[in-house]
Amino acid sequence: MSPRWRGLVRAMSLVAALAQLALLTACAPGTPDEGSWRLDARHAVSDVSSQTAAVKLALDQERRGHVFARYLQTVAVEAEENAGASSEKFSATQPPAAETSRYSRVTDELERDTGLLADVRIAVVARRESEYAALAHQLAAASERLATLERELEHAPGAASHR
Amino acid sequence: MKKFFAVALGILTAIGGFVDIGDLVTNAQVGSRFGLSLGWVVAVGVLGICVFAEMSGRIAAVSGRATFDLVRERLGPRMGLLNLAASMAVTLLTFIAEVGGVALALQLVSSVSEVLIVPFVAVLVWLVLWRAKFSVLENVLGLLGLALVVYAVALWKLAPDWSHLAHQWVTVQKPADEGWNTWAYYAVALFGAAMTPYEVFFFSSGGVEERWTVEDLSVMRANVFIGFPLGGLLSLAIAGCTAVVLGPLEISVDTLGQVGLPVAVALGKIGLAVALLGFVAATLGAACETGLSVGYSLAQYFGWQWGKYVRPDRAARFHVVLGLVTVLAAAVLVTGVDPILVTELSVVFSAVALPLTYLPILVVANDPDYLGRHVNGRLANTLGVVYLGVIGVAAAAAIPLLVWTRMGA
Repeated sequence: MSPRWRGLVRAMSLVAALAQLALLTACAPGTPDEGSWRLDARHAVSDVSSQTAAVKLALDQERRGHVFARYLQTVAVEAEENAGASSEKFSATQPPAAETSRYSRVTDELERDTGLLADVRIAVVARRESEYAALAHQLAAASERLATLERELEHAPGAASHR
Repeated sequence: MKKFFAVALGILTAIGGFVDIGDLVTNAQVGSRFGLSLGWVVAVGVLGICVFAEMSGRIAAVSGRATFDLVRERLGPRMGLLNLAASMAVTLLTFIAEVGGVALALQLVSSVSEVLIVPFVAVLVWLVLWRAKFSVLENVLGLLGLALVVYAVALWKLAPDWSHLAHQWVTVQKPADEGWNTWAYYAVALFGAAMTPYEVFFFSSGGVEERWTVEDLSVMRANVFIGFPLGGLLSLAIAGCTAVVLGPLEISVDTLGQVGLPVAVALGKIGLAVALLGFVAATLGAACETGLSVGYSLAQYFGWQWGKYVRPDRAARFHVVLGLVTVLAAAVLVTGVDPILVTELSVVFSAVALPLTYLPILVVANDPDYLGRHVNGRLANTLGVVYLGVIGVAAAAAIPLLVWTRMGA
């Protein structure tokens, strides 16, 4: 190998070593302080909101005759699974003292919306098409509630009420 | 006329074969969350893959030998082993993601759980790798992959504000509710998806399989410099569709089913059916390419007989490797691991492995003992070195960003 290429190989090895060092030092904060709790809460609400909106979009498209029944079923099943996983993961986190009441509100809302997604999945699997319009309406209402909750979670409990 | 058809077929298969599960998922996620503000990364990545694919194709055409074959000989067994370990680990991860991607695509058609579909997909992939001719594998699946052009049609039908999309594409900006760290994470993921190492290995080994010579250089370059950028446009069309339909609804893409929704909105059931065909073809084609790439890289490093043009009994170890990696992929996927998660990891680790993959290609492409007067010119070397710098930055940043952003959450 020529000296020029040997130098290049060494430089690349240095980059790889630096990458490993960065990996060791770049750990995500693990302390459950109020800020990181709110971030986790926003992520969980955002995840469930995303799944809710996706299922509503798929239901709307089914009513327009734009998707296949089996496709809608897969979208609904996966959305319920993903929303359930996010909700469950968030429920298992310990809230800081100042956020206890919002913890209950967030977990209640997430459970309610995951339950709604289960209702949608049941209706879709059973092909109860007459229920789709009402379910889409409920999903829209859920998305609005989740969006409001997500905005509130950007601030500490006291600060949120002043905005 | 025959040459014209060869060029046209090569370009079409290059376009159809460009998009894989990593491109599908990452572009859809980025589009829904960032609009086209990371579209420039796709352009940078496509130019990068063109630079290195042209080098590896030239190496194959001039020397008649594939990349790993020469890397070990030129750089020694230690560097060759490092190169092999890094690129094969990523290619294996990508192979698992692609097999899972085929299962997910078939799940959308059948609504049967992807875990139950995986064993059948594994058998199908193994049969294709075992029995199908190389040209059939490359051309049929590549041409069927062109079904993803439906995303470009859907984007046109959605009639977006083109000036807004173009403005997003040419300016470095991000939505207010996203952090720069998340933006950087997805930039690295998109770059990794565009420059996946297996594409170069498959391209180079395919050249040896098809017995390219110096006379094929112009056809090879047409495939690379026309086919790959047009394939990149497909990636942008996917991002554009999710930006227009899913972005305003705050849907962040988590499943393959969500990737198809914008097409359903724009074109209805027929469009959706074409998109599903594209999903199956793109993922099945990429599964075959990545599976073969694992076999190619191992066989070339250890000096075994390899290739689809060699009778299986004469390339027994090569085919045993293909069988084993298919079993391994199925074994991983039947545990219930989310193929989308595997895909997200594969594109990020792809970015990590890029320096070890592309540096040896640049070295070999400069060696007159192998390439004679076809060694890299000044432009190829300048681009190659610049890209090695970009690749180094992406590789160094990939894992810290993965941890810091909790996989882009």
